[in-house]
Amino acid sequence: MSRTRVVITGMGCVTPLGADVAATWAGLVAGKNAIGPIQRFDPTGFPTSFAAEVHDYRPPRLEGRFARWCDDKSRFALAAAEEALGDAGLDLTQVDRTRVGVSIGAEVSRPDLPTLAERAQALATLSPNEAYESIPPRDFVVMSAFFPATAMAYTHGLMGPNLTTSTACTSSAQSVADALRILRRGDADVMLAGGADRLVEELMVMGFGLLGALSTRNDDPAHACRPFDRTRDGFVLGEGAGMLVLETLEHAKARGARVHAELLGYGCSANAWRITDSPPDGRGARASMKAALDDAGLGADAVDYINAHGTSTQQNDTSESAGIHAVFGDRRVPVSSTKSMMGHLVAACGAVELIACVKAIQTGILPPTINHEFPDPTCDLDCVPNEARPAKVEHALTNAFGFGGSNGSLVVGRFAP
Amino acid sequence: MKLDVAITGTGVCAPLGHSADELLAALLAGRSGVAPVTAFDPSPFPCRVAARVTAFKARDWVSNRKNLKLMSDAVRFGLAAVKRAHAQAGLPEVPTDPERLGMFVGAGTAFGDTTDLAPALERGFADGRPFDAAAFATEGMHLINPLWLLKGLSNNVLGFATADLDARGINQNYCNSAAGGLQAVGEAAWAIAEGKADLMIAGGADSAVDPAHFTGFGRLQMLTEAADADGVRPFDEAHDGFAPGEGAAFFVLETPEHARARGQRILARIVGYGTACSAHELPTGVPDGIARAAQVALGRAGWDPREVDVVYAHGNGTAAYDRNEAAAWHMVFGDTTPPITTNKANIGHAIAASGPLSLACAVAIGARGAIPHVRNLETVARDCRGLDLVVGVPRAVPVRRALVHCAGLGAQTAVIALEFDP
Repeated sequence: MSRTRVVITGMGCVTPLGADVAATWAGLVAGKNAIGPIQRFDPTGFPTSFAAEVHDYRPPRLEGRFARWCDDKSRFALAAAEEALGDAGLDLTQVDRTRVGVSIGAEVSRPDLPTLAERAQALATLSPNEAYESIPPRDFVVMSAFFPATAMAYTHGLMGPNLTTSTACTSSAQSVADALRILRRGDADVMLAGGADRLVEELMVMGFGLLGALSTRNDDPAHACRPFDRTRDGFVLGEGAGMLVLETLEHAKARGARVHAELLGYGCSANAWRITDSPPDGRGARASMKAALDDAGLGADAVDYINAHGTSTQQNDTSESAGIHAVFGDRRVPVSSTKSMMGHLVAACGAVELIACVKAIQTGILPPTINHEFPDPTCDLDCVPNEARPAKVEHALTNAFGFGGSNGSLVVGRFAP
Repeated sequence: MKLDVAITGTGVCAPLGHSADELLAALLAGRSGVAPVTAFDPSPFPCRVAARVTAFKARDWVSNRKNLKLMSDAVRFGLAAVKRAHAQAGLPEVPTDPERLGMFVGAGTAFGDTTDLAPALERGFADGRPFDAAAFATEGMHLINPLWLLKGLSNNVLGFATADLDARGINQNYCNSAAGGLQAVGEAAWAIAEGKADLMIAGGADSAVDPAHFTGFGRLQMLTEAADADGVRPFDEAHDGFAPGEGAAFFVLETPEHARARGQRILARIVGYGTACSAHELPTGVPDGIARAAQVALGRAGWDPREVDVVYAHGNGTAAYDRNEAAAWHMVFGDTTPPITTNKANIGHAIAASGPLSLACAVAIGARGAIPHVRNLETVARDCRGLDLVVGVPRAVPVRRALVHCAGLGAQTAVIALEFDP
């Protein structure tokens, strides 16, 4: 029995580079930097004072209580989904919405520092019961990881499978993989899949900073994210969302949809190593890429472009390079890290970088890794340094690896009916 | 595509029991683990009771003790349940093929420990001034444990357990409130059916017994205000909410062929799994999301609804959910339902672990042929009537087919169809 084919018919994103796919892609191709001093709060005294913030996006249509309830994480996701649905030309009132599902990578949000401080003070000064009564009831729901998926189901009346993956930076690669699996087994016709995150806030800058994971190149933020460069010193927090409309080929055909690309395979592995580190031999990265190629029924030779996880931490880039060499051997597949321009979108990065892969296939342009100055022998890759490059791309692969040790890889290909 | 996946190991860490059989025995005896909260002062909260895991030493389950201080209670329960399932399934300590051993987890909401931030926050309030973030950063941040962020990672069960067992295969972590646990098991079953792993360990772990959950669920008016164990009353006319609970349940999954080839007894088979969402009618939800998940599971299993021998309900004891669930079971089964039970009056609501704990009870019911009664159920609520609720005493019946249901705060629902070989 031949397997159900799954295609991408709609894409949407909100990133530090722009409010939609067109602006984001234009920025990536131009090698534009979206990293700068933090504007959302005063970063005085924080170990890192810069990030890639979303300053501008089209707020989604929200109804009723959700207009008050949704925080930025959910708003980014809904805005990206609106773009993706429009792009797909999918009128949800014309389809069976019990067979339209949602799969999103997201994490719990936390109150910002002043709110947290206010609450701590309330506990100290008010009676315990007054402090309890002062907490808004919606907080618990809205801040939960699942809320973007709930908000999406509510907004669009979607009754199909509804899942939220929380595996830190790997979340949305795995949520897209779940959507693929659900469509293949026939539990839905259409899945809205992707991820959203909103991390540029005091506690996250502090938390990742205390771990030593963030770049501290505070005097030169524009050159701080330098994946695969010898002088890299950590990742740069980004934020935003990426959403895709995935459909069974049959469903897409029946409604005469335009197809962007075919989602061919996914792979997933665990480092089984340590919570924050990846094994230096890149075994987890290798296993994930290999599993994705196997799932797609492709050999390593078929891949023309890799959008790397490429966080710009010493460990990730070395480990990922080792994994790439283990799978691709001596063949120098172009590998770029778009995080060099828009920072690390964490729970959203897998979906946004999958969109970059689709655009590479469609336009024949590979986005660069900017800030590449000093080659690192432990990252001996063709990292498409500094400038975009024309290339014919039939198949592309994207990686996402995260704290906790989950790895995810996705393979996408030019659609051939 | 057919779903037929064997459960060959069950690991439980729960109030009233540290194995599925022990837990079922307690339920059949009508015991309750719900008691007044002593872990913290509950006086600010309308809810004063909870169900706690007792007789548990985390040190017994953590190989690298240095990691203990990064682990919440939920993570500790999760590791214990994972290892118990692993042991019951007779898996070797070192996996034969690490990349073919996978793990799917339903995890709770890790709010992070904000009490750790208190000394730093105090610096921000120095001299009675309004909060000064710069003072917090420059004078307070060094007081915070550099590993603070790691304690709050939502995927810590997965991270620590995969490292401990050298499980390098396909994995997932769902943070989907109370729906995530059964989603983890259902999706893991599919990973086996699709040939993505030889063995999967799947389940959920959570703890709602802390001020953050008492505040969160309390402010949503979902918690009971009863003073003792007899006040949690699913489907009863006096139902007024649930008692926060905690625990974990995990399962070892493999194909029946794989289990037979290694001579392992099959406890039950997962033959259907459905998940859906009814967020279009938040906040109360509507029955159609529950019914939809059940119908997908029944369809995959190829069962006529009349063939179902027992429904393990979510039964969280809130008036709104009990009503929705009752309506949903009528949508699925018509006027005459199979026997229906729930364990929330006995072990509270362990959120992400609640679905897997119900599944563990259902697995044990299949072996035992006895369905526990719904504790504290005396007068069925008006809008829950017509269901065949197991009332008063356990019911002895052979069980071949069971449906297990759970649902989350975000209106996500999940149902697993379980079949027992005669």
